[in-house]
Amino acid sequence: MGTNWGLYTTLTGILAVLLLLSAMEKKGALDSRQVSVIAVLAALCAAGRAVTGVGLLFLQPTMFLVEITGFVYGARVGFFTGAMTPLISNFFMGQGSWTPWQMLCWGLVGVFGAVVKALFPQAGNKTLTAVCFLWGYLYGAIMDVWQWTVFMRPLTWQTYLLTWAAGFSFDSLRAIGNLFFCAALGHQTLKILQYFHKKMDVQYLER
Amino acid sequence: MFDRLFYREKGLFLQSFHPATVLVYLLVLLILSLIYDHPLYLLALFLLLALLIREVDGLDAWEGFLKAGVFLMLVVMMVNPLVIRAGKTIIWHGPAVPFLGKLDISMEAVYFGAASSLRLLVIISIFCLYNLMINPDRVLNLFSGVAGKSVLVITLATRLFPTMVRDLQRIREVQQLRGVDFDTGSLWQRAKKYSGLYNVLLLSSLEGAMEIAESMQARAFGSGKRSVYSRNMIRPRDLFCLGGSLLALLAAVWGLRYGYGRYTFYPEADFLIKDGATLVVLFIVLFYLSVPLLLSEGWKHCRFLKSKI
Repeated sequence: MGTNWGLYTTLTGILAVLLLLSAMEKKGALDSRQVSVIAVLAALCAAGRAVTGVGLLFLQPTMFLVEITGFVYGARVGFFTGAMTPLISNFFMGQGSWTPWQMLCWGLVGVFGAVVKALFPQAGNKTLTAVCFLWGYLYGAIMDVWQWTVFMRPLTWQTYLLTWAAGFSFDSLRAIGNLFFCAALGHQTLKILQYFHKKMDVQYLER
Repeated sequence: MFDRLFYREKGLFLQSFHPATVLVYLLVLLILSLIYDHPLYLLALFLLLALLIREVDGLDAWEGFLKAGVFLMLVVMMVNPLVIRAGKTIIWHGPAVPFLGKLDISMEAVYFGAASSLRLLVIISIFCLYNLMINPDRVLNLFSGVAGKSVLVITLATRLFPTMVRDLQRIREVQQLRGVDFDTGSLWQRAKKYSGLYNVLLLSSLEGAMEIAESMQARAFGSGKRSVYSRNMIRPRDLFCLGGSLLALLAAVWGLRYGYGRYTFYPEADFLIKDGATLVVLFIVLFYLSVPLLLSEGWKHCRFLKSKI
């Protein structure tokens, strides 16, 4: 019982988030359009997460939006939009030591959208819906790692699987919600975001 | 629900600290709650937090936090006894289960599960206190010097958040006036109506984002070094509180080197109070940690202290 894994995982989460966010501060990393688009999409996602998170349990129309953002705008904007989502909704729902890990998970969803884009540039809404469904479970599995290391002893595969099994119904709800919302709204979202991506893309001929 | 933040300004003494002080103090509490195994120490932290939360007038909010923690707590208390085989005092011999092996529930595992859930409650309470004690705007202000863009994004989004909830309401009303009835029709038809709502919201928000970007550009965003204005004062109360937290951390680490605050659950649970020194170390750490509480009491009852801090 000597090593204190709970402390280490929480601190690792905080450090990882700080390190990744520091990439945002680099000079010239983001221009004003990207900053405002991240803020608006993050606010939209946070609103979706907080408003429906309370009312509809885990059926949130949010994860697919983060994913499509990553798909359209690339890994950087996707990550920041994702990472800001839990941070901002937690201002209204309550911050906690779960926040850094949630930020990482949501950020990963956005990055994964960009990965899908890199692997299948022509991917349509069906691929995105499938990926989104999988992420419903993956998100739960990653968050369980945090919960498991902080509150469970001994740290064996059995305890992890039991933690995961305890959250399985919630994960399924989340995955089904993702599937439903992405199938219903993904296509239009994709179109709207691509339209604004074109509009945002300004190239200076002369500085 | 979403037109204001979780934090409420109540003009209480505990809300008047410098944000950095509060962050350091709560970080020390968090570290202590994660490094201590001893149930008595965790219980003491829990009581201290209860007093602090009462002092910021947040017992109602705390109740909500604790309710949210109960599910997690049940999971912790169920899983631990089911899988741990290290305990010596078996209280229930269960059947053999394929994946887990023989289900023997031991006293020590139940005990450990209870101690872990106590730690869970302590952590939840620390964050409840954070949400009650510190204005998020002031925390952001603290970091705006080093992390300007992140803070800008967070502030923008937090500001837009209630606007979006309001926008959604507005778009809904406009559509209702045009004859869209959101309460009738089959599930599929209703989903279609709502998806129209969502499209308009997404489009108008992104249109707004463009305007924000143009306005930022017009105000010379990203054209040079940013200037920062901060109005947070460091007062004697902050120094007392910072000193108290650092001393508490030192005392705790020193105590841990000699084993005070550690606790062995397996194979057989230790004595709760092994010797007098366990209590003395606990008392010292707790005394340093209760500096804000003492100052708050002094603020209320002692005019001399009030004039000095």
